Amino acid sequence: MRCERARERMAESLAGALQTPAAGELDAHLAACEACAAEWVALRDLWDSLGRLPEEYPGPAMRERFDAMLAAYQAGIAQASLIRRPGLLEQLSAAWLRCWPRRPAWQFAAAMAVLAVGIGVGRFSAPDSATPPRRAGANTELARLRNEVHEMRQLVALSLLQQQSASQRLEGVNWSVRVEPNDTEVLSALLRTVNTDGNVNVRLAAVDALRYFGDSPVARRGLAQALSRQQSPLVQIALIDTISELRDRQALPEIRAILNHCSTDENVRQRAQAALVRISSSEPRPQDSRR
Amino acid sequence: MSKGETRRVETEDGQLMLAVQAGDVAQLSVLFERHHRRLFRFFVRLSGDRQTAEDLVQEVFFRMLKYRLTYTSGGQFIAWMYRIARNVHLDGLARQREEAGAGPEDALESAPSAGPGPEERLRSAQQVQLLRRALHSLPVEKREVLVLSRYQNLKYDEIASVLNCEVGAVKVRVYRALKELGQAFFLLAGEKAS
Repeated sequence: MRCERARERMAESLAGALQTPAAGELDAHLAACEACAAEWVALRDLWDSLGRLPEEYPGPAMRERFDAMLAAYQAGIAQASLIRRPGLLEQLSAAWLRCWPRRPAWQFAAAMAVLAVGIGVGRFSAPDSATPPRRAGANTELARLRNEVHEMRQLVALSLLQQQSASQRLEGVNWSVRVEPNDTEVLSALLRTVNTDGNVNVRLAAVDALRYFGDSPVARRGLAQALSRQQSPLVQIALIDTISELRDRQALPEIRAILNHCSTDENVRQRAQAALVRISSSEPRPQDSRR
Repeated sequence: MSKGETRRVETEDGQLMLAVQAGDVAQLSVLFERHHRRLFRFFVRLSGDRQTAEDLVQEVFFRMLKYRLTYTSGGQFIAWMYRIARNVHLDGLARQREEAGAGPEDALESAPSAGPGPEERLRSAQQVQLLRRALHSLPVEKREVLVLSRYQNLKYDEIASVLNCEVGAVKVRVYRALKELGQAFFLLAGEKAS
């Protein structure tokens, strides 16, 4: 047994996890190698000292806190399961979900119909002396209608992203790309979904949706930061691919970090390597070159 | 505890968690009773602070409730619990960094709690304090693997599952963490002597 191998097995032996014949090989090596034997003694003493650190015990308040948390959760579940009259906003969003067509072509037609109605209302409504000229009034009405459509889509997306059901959260991710690309609330909700959602499919969909917000520095930074938080290789690959497509040079440190981390999955490592090459060889965006 | 007993307890824990998943959330109370002390010790060793450790334990059980659908019947409950615990600790560090401004993450953690305790009854009280400081000076990844190996009674394959790496990598990491702990300890002991 070589010294390097012996040293790697020392901690295993101290933990009582080294099986024969490896344990026998280590003993034989220690008997023959003074340097390793000295290191063994030092590590063993340290291991024993760690065992003499006083044990810590939690106070009784911890149990009370947990019980209170569980009771509150159970009360909340019980309340949510009661049949109750939904609030006005919930009614509106539910009605909107029912009315809004599913097919993109019909959605476009519906949106154009809403705009047409809005323009018609603006054109034929009688202005009073305080209102601005008719052309400006029509534009204002149009802007207001557009804003209402946007707000409704935002409401739907945000509501769905908070649902317990993973399929509803997936629906929320689908809705998130129908808002304005500068919508910071939906962007924040998507980033939160990438970092905290318990369902890997929802996280993958959220990463995909973040491409839509790719021009936002917040989105780009959020994607890079999410890389170090993810445990799932699938999501890591999706993040790397998205960052690579966006040619985000400011994410290079995070990509290098995951490439150099010893526990990174091999497939992720290869993807990260390819992304490094692609991003490094691309033209810097104007905001990248300001750093 | 024998291997057979360990397997039986692990199976029971898994069944309790499946019951929680199915809606019988009261069973989480049993899991709390079984595991909150070891989680508390885990967090105290990592953070050096009792209050922080208590908060983090609560967060672990809250997340078990929130993400109960992610527990799979084929998975080991203990490894799943420690994965959540590890993420809770890392999220806590990230929050600390955000609140205090950018900087080396380990520099922002609270110093080990001082004050009276059982260590004062030991003849090597100063050695204990130095060892605690040395442990706390390690980078969080090294401290993590050492605490999991030395104090949490996890097998190497369980630690590998928690850290999402190979068993071989765990062995190397534990050795390197121990080595670095020794160097830190003797450095601190030398400073104390001088």
